Amino acid sequence: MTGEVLTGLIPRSLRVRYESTRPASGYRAATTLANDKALPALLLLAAFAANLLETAFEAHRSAGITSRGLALASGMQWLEGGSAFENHDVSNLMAVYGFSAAYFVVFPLLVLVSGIVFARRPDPRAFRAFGFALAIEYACSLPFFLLFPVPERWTYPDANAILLSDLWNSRLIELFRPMSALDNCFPSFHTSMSVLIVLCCFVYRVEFRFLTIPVAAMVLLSTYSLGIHWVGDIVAGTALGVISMAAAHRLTAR
Amino acid sequence: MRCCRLPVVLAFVIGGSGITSEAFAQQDMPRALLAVSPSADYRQADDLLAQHLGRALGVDLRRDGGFSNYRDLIERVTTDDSGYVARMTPYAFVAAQMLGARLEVLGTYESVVTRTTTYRSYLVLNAKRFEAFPPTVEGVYEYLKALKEPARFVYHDKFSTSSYLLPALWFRSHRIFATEQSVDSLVRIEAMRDAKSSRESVGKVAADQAQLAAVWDATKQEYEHDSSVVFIPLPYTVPNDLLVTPAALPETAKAAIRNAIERSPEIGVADFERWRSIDNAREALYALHELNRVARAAPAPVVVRVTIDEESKHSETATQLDQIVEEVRQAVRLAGTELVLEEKVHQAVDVIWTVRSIHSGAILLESDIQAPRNLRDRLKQEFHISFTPVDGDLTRRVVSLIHSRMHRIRYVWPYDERAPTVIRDVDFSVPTGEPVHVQRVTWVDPDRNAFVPSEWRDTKVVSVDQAKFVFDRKDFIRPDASALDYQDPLSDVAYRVILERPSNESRQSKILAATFVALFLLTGAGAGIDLRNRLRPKTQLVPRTLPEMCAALAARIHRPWSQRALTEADVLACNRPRVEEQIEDLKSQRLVPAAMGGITRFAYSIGAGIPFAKGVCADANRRVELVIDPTRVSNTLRLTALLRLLIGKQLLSPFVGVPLEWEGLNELARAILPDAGPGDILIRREDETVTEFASRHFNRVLDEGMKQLSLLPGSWLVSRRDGRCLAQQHIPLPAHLTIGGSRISSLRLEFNVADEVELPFDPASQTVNCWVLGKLVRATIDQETGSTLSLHLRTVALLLQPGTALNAVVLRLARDIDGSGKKEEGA
Repeated sequence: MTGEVLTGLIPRSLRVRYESTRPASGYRAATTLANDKALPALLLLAAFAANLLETAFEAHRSAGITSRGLALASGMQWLEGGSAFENHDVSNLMAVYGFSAAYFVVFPLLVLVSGIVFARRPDPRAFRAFGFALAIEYACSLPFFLLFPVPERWTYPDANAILLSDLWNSRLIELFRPMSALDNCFPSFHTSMSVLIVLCCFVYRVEFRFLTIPVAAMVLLSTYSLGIHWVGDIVAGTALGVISMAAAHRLTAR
Repeated sequence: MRCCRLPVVLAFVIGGSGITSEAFAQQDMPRALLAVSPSADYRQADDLLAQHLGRALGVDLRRDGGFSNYRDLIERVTTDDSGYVARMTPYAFVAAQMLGARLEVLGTYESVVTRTTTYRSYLVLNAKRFEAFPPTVEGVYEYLKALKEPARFVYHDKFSTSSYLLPALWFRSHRIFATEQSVDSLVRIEAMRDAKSSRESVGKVAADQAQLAAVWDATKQEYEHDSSVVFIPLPYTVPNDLLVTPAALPETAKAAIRNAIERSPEIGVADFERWRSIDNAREALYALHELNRVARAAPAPVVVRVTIDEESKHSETATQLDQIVEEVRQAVRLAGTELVLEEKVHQAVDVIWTVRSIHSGAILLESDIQAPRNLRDRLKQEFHISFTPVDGDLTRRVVSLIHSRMHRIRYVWPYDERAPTVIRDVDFSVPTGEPVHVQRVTWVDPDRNAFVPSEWRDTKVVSVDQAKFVFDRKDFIRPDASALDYQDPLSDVAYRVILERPSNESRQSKILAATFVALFLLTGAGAGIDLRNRLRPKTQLVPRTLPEMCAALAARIHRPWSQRALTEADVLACNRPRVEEQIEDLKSQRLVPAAMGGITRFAYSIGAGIPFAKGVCADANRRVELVIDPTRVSNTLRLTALLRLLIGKQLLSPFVGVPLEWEGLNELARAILPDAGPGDILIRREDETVTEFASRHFNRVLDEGMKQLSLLPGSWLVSRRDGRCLAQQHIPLPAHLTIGGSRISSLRLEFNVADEVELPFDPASQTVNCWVLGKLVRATIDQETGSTLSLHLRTVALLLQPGTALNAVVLRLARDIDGSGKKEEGA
């Protein structure tokens, strides 16, 4: 309880000194740690593990795109005004390598580095918000993944798209597939995570926060350009990122 | 009067508009009849038709006899779309349409010979030579095949439907070619334009100067009783000559022409009995439709071989490759194009498709046109195809690629002698001036795709329109012969052209790539901003005015407390109610963070009941509960938080006991004079102007000290007056200040000390060094001296000098010991 008071009243640097004058009980130390870092870390791990399990389950359940998936993809295309790619495989190398790198390399790095940066900060709120928000995001996305299986754009023939990263290396998608099922398109988790990270960086005034804006924008753009996500996925992902961050911020502020 | 004029005006307007519309209608009417008239009776028949149409349409319509052959007429109708009617042979009409003319058939004529609107074509053979063979087209084939020398086929016009086109179609379908090569699979003939009319052709066959010719019904009728020739009907029916107009002609004009045609009188000249509207000549319509179908033959087949890449055969997905290849082959079948799958009978393959597995759900399809290596590399196309296991998905995608992305092979149209032309049946265009690759092939067996290829050559597109691609004529002259040989439909020589489909990057892709580059640059900019923020020292405002400088000096004095965590030993006294009061004041100004208000949480409660026993009712409430009450935490914590807030947000007054004005003015002066050292005194305190400035500012500082809390250090003399403990500090001023109209030369700061407060003062000097956090409540000028300003402080807290807490404890202990010793002594 004392810890709570201190958190509210004085900065952490002073609190540490204050706490050090009192012998902390094991229970209180554990509680503090759990509140600060362990719980969000646990949530992050849980979300990751759940995602792996869910993807494996979906792969086991159905090998390809279901007729319902195709109907949903048709709906997504309708929402976009029936737009389709034109000569998608004739994209320039900048687009192929750039967007593939943004999607398959930069995004995981962004998540990883952000997680580490948040975790290393003396102020635990950023990490807590990050952990909570990610868990909320995944919890919100999961029903859509299971019940609203929108397939990736390239799998829908009328979209006239290919998986652009195949022009660079087909291993990229193979490496990513255990974490992202073919019909887990809506909402875009890449988008929601990127938005979440940017918001988290700005709300908690993390260093290098300005860097995250264009990086996240590149990731967002890559989800569309690579022929993976629909515009609807990106819009929903953005909304989910904002909502999750708001909820997590509120939870953290208590 | 006006009423009388109105009908007149209306009549004039209506009449005028009628005249105008009639004038316009006449303006749209044709003025010329275009026709090729090979003989006088044809000219006469055309004149009669022109006169009739002119009369019926109310225009001066004349025959334009400036056409010596159908090629000229076709040229005219493909480039002109107004003001004429044209009489054309059916094939000239079909050819003109193929070359881009937009024509509409309005009429045809009834033949004197056949009494119908259609006719047939007949092969003409020498009766003696042909007597051993059955009088059928099959018999003709056998006859031609049995000849030791190639049969001579004579014709008079390449655009003659009966004498050239129909026999040419029949020859091609039976692999009869005008060729020099002697191959078992082909039947050889010699084709020559060696007659001026079909009658002359028949004469030549009768005279055994030629072995084969083709004529139409009228000519046949003339020679029906001639036993020297035999007429074998070809299996095609074609309409008689057609009367056409540009499709762009207004409908009213076309309707008028149709009416005029339908009302045309009997002509009875040449083969023309009378003209009839095409709407009333069903037979002719069907025949024209059939001719269109036959003449617009599908593009020559292009044989495709589908293979599996060698590496893929050993890959993990090798088991799926057979299925993939089958789906790709199915795409060739379903595409409905000139592409045909390779079969065992095929002698040559035109295109090889190699399927390479990328991963499950993606293949690379390489399309390789069979050409020399240097050309093949250029023409090679690679298509990355992503697909799903859904049945038929890959097939659909490949079909789409065939239609939208692949290069196409097309053959030069052999009926246009003027320029090598490819009839356009593809949706993409090849820009004018663009080089394309052309190859001459000599057919051995078209059905088996057997041919003798020549080298590929480059040519240029000289013109393109919606109907055709026209190439540079000089590139079609063979190096070993000066003659052109692309234009002989009866020949076994054909020219094929590769139409390279431009695979342009879409605008969307370009925009996305440009956006990516922009974002990449922005990433650098973002990193730069972050780096600058990181490296930049904390911004400190450079004071430019006296108030700013004094505030900065005061902040410098307060700095030791800015990062300091108070301990209980640091706090000599704390008036908690005043602390809370101060915090409340700050809250009212919205300057206090939420956390200082305590920690709260939302509590929810849901209740259910049966109010008034009328039904179940549920209610939910949300209320805010205070989990941690901040007023109950220790003085140390509360004071630390308050102090940090006051210093952090610069809410303390600049009053620090000592006037800072002279030092502030010196600092400002030193900042402007670069040669001035840190300790140089540049401002004379005694100067009246300086005094005035300093006084004015110090008055403002005192005002602020009355409103805001001040934090000031000092060595305080503790004494008792009127039964109360009073701490005082006397501060002589280095120069006088004018305050309240008095010249002040010293300050006396004082505050009351509560009885319960134990001050660690020095027993010898009766002084205590401590900081006072409080607010000025009174300022009076000493009546006795008149030059001392007394400032009374209302304390909130007394704090020990940083680092003196231990000394204070020692002093307190010493005093306690001393006090107890004295007590003992007294006892």
